[in-house]
Amino acid sequence: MTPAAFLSLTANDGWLLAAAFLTALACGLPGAWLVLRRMSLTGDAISHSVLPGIVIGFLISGSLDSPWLVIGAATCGWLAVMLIDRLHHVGGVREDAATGIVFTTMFSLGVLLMRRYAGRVDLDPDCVLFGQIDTAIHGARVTIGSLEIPGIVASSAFSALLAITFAAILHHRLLASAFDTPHSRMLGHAPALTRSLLLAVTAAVVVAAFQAVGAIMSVALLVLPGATGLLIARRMPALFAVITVHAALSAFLGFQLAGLANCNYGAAVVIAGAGLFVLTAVFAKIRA
Amino acid sequence: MSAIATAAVAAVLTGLLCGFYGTFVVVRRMALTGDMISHAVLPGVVAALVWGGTRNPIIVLACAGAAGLLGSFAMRGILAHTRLKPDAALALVLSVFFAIGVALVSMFQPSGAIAFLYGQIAALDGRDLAFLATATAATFALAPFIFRSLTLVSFDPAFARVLGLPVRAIDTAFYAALTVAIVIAMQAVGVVLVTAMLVTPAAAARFCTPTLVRTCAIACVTGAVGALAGVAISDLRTGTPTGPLIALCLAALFALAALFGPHHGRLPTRARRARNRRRIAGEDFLKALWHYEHGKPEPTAPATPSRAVVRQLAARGMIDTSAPAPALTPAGREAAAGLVRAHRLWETYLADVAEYPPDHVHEEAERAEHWIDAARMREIADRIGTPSLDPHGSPIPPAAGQPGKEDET
Amino acid sequence: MNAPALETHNLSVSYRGKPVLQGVDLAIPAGSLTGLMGPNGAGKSTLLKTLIGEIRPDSGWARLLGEPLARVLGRVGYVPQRESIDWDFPVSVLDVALMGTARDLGWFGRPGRGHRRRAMDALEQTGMADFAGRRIGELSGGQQQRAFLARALAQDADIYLMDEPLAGVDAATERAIIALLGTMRDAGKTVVVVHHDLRTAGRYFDRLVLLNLRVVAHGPADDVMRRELLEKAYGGKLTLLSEVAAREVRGGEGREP
Repeated sequence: MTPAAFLSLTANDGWLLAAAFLTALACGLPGAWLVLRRMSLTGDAISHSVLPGIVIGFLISGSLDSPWLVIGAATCGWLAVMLIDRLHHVGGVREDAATGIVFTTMFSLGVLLMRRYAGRVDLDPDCVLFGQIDTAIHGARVTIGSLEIPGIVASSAFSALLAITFAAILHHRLLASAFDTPHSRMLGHAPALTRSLLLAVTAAVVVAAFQAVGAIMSVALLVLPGATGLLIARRMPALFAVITVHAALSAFLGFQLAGLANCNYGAAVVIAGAGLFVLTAVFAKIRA
Repeated sequence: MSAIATAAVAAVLTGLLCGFYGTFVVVRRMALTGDMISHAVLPGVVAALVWGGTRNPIIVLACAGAAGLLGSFAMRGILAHTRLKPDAALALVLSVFFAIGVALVSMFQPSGAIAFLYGQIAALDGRDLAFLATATAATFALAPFIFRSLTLVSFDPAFARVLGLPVRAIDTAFYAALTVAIVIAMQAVGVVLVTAMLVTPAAAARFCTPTLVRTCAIACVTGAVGALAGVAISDLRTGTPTGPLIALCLAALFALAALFGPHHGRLPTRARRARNRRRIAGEDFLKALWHYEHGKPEPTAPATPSRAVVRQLAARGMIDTSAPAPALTPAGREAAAGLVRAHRLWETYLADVAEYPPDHVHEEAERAEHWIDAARMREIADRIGTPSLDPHGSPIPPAAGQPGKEDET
Repeated sequence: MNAPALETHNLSVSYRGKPVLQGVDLAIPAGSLTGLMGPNGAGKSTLLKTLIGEIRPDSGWARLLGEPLARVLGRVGYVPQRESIDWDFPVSVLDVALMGTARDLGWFGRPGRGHRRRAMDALEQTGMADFAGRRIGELSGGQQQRAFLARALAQDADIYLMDEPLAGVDAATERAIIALLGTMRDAGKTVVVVHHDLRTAGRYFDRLVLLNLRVVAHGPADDVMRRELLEKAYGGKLTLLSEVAAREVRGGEGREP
């Protein structure tokens, strides 16, 4: 008996769980660095600002699984952060106000592009706020070897792979620059470049999350796993272990919750993840 | 009233209301708290639509307020009981509360939820409009009375407390009013773009004036104009959603203010910098001519001024350009003597009072001389006891209109 | 006399249109232990931050080890002010010390056994070896400072810039840290320390710099610890000087002077 059969899951359910887990993991890894750097709200800005990049990437390639989406999204994410920086440092606009202005503007551009080319974009406008993980799982499939997997699973696997590779090979640069940026620069580590790479990877993983759960709940996927980890982890390896477990449990519990309440799976994943956060916080409080 | 007229009136009123509260949101650096509130109220709004059945603004508002309150409790709880920083707490509350709202929407599919998620200004009815008008009228009727205390509480809560102001009550009232404004704006532009309605007009206004009252007034006008423009454009091209168009119109107004705003706007700042550079070049030239007249060339060679600088000096009657070589007019001579006096006084001050090394003072004074006015010169002269020679032994010209020793060189 | 390990010329720095440092000239000899003193807001931390390139000066230049900063990265050690560190960060004392050894790691490198040994050596020297596995948030103030000193030692830099390493530490730790700084100096390192306790300054340091917007005095500790110099440094700001400098700065930025 396979584990899937044991939990009385259909193959589609299995793919759904895989997509949710991989998306949550992909977001959780760069997201943890954002939380550590006190840049959670930059994650918020990026998750909204990638929309025009996704639409343009889609218009270029005509497919939702194209690397153009990632390129477009990363460009727009980077552009947004650069605009915020410039407004703040050159224009003298306060950082929170600059963030608010830039992400709403980019998001509006994205929505308008989407409507303008509605005929050519089979992006569902609801996807922007709700995500479409429930429906996308039945969508186009890609064939890898003898395996036929849903496109959304393939793209979330790709972004998880990207996030893991990034977090693993740049770990020490990321750590040094997040912990003490001046010191990291004194070692010749180019922390500004490390930060830019982190933002680009964030934008790239948000593409998959955007399709799965929409712009706003992507923020939860970015921040929740890392925030939960920081409640109990004493060192970085433990933090990443908690993030992985949190992503897996959120995907699974969210699936059960969505089945029980008959609600949007993406929202259920986030609510389950929030529940885990609260439980962890209570546990940490009792232990302390 | 036609649908277009309703939308136009609603846009103007929403713009005015958001401009007013947005001003305080921006000066209190809580732009993203506003964003958080707009997402946190969503479960309340949806619950009201589900259980209230109708889109009664009062019920919606009550439920939204309750959800917003829960959101700020959650926020406070996270900050008090975990090591997480405010940014993470904000992002968490914002996204999780939104997820709860989305779950409720997907479970019950209430009619009217779309208006709050995406904003449908055209779907507002007479009752909404009446409510909006009441909220706006109440805000502006009370504005003259609450403005001062709200300002004090925003800038310096400790001082406000010393003055005996009920700081907590004012803060609570502000949050409540802000929540009302946010719920109203949500119906116009949608949950994501409320932040644009609140923050963009006020941020634009800050480029136009340094005072808070005018910032607030300009923010209100900007908000109304931007919202109206968004509605007008969307009406011309039917089918385009209103919310994003309003946000983009506001962003365009913000860009204009950031470029042309008289208060730290990009171009006025550049122009002022250029004007200062031209003034300094002109003053350096006057000084060079003065030194030439006194038969002692400046220690450092003066920069050859551009023709524009020379023309400007001539126009101000500082130099006479009728001869092949420009010469100082009496007014120019007096101005130049003032500069030399400032330079030498400052050198003396730096050497005697600030105890700069003597080889250092000239360079400093060369820069500072352009920024010392008559009042400051008197102050310096008082401080150093009006000496007649600078640290290099050169005479300090007397103040204008004050009899002094004739220049011996 | 050695060539100066730290040299600034006419360094002026402003922050938000307010001058913080004005025409600072310094030449600190190599192999010395120098205390940087001055009242609150005198620009001590700003000077360090300018030296490490965190703040860009309005005018003037600084050289470390005879070169511009970009060419001696890695040879300059920096110990930040306690407040600038997030003590909730999930790293252990050993992790912090290891960060000091990362100078020769490339983009994809990770610390190996050699790095680990260097980090442990540094922890031994600072008496923190027993705490290697502790999370930094669980340490006392003195232990936290020692952990950062261990990071500096592990880096094996030639010049060290330290922002108030004696702030918030107990008397025993203070003595231990000063002894350690002396050892570093004896090993030929240049150590520059922001310090605020006037009573101990004369004993702790070879040389002192008195700072208040500009350099008030600079030289061997005994020459600087004189009443009239201290009064000048601590006796309040020269309002005229900062006023005129502020007008200059704002005029350059294109604001109303």
